[in-house]
Amino acid sequence: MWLPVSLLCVLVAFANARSIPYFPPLSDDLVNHINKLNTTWKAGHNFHNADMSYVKKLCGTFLGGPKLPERVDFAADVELPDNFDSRTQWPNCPTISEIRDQGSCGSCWAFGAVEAISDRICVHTNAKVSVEVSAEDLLSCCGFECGMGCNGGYPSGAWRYWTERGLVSGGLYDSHVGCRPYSIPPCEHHVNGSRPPCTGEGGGTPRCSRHCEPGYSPSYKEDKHYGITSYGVPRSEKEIMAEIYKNGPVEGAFIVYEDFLMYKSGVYQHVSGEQVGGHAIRILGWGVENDTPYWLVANSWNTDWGENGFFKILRGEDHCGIESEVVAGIPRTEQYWKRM
Amino acid sequence: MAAAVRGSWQNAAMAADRVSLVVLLAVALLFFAGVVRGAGLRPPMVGAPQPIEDPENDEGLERALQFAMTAYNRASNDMYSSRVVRVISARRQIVAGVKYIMEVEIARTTCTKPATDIQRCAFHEEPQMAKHTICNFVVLNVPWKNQVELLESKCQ
Repeated sequence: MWLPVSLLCVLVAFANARSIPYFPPLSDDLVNHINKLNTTWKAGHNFHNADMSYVKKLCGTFLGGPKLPERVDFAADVELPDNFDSRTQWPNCPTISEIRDQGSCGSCWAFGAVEAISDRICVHTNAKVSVEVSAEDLLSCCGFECGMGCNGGYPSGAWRYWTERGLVSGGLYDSHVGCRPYSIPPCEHHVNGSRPPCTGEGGGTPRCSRHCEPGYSPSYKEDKHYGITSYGVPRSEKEIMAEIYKNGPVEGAFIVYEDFLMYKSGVYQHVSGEQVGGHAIRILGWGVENDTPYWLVANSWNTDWGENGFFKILRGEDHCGIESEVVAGIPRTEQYWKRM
Repeated sequence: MAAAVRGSWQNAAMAADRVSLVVLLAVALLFFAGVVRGAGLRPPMVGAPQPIEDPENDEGLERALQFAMTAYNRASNDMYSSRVVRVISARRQIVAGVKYIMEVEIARTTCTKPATDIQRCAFHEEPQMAKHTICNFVVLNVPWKNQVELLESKCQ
């Protein structure tokens, strides 16, 4: 227990002692050291921004914004498996396996919500309806109820907006899928990258347009998908598991520290680095890896981050607040039965 | 007359009440903010920019600033290199990567371009040569892609 900590301290002293040249190749040393720590996860190479100025063992807890009504407990009545993956549980719901990209915008709160909402529409219609719900519509049209658009927002506000105003369809950037696809490009180096550079949209929230993209046939109003109810899930490992097991993926939030950016595989737990801020994600399952219980989570940083865009994080001790901000809701399915 | 005096006195009293109410509210707000801060609780929004706690000793910020200044010096028409005098404000935001949002004061050094070790360059002392400028930089760092980009650079 103390050996890795003291090792890190030595490393920190070492890192601080050297002067900092222009983007030094310190990354490989750091990644190697994290990987030698024998923790439950592995860091990736090519990390440029490791801040080892202090080592923090404890992960902070997370406090949310406006609260949704809390759902009543029901985990006691459900027999839960040791491992659960929504992707295999509902194989006919393709959005569960999808990884999106929020680009250079602080829209994680909207992504976590529309991803889980898309999954739940499919789960609750027995895969009769599969739709990519638009992050663009939520990000640009929700307003103050959701927070500040690309400058951050509230997951709870996002789910409430879905029940009150509904959300249209919309796929990835440049996909031309659905009513309002995402308008902020993924970032890529200019040189021989297949994606466009992310310069030129300096953090501005896209404009709320109540029209579908040209060529998409239902009207904006006709394309709205609604939720019947939205709620906070009790801060309990078992209640969160029961919620996912019964109703599909949920939106959660946690505190990100710099070491998380280097995550490549395994079960993440915070070992070093400065706090970067609160981040929202979609939780789609759980399991146990080498005796370490984990949540299975989808990030919105494209597929070249982590394990093809997914990650695992320590489960059962509210690590970095991951169990304290879980929100979800139930889709209004009668709107689909009428159409069929 | 007496009524008018009483009226204005009442108004004054009401105004005083209002002022004390505002003061009370402000104190309560400050207290609450203090409690929240003291308890180590986080701002409620996710994905929001957060102030960098110790900008003087933040390696990530330092690198982002160096990146911005290299780009600034490469693009500027000046024969001298400029460097940062002080950081006015610095925030960090989670996007698909980490965004550094910085406001800095920069000034012209005595080193002509291209300067190799700019941190050692002295600033110009004479007022007509010492060009102080306030700049807003936004740098995006995507560590897992080895990517650093200057998204915004506004100087006046």
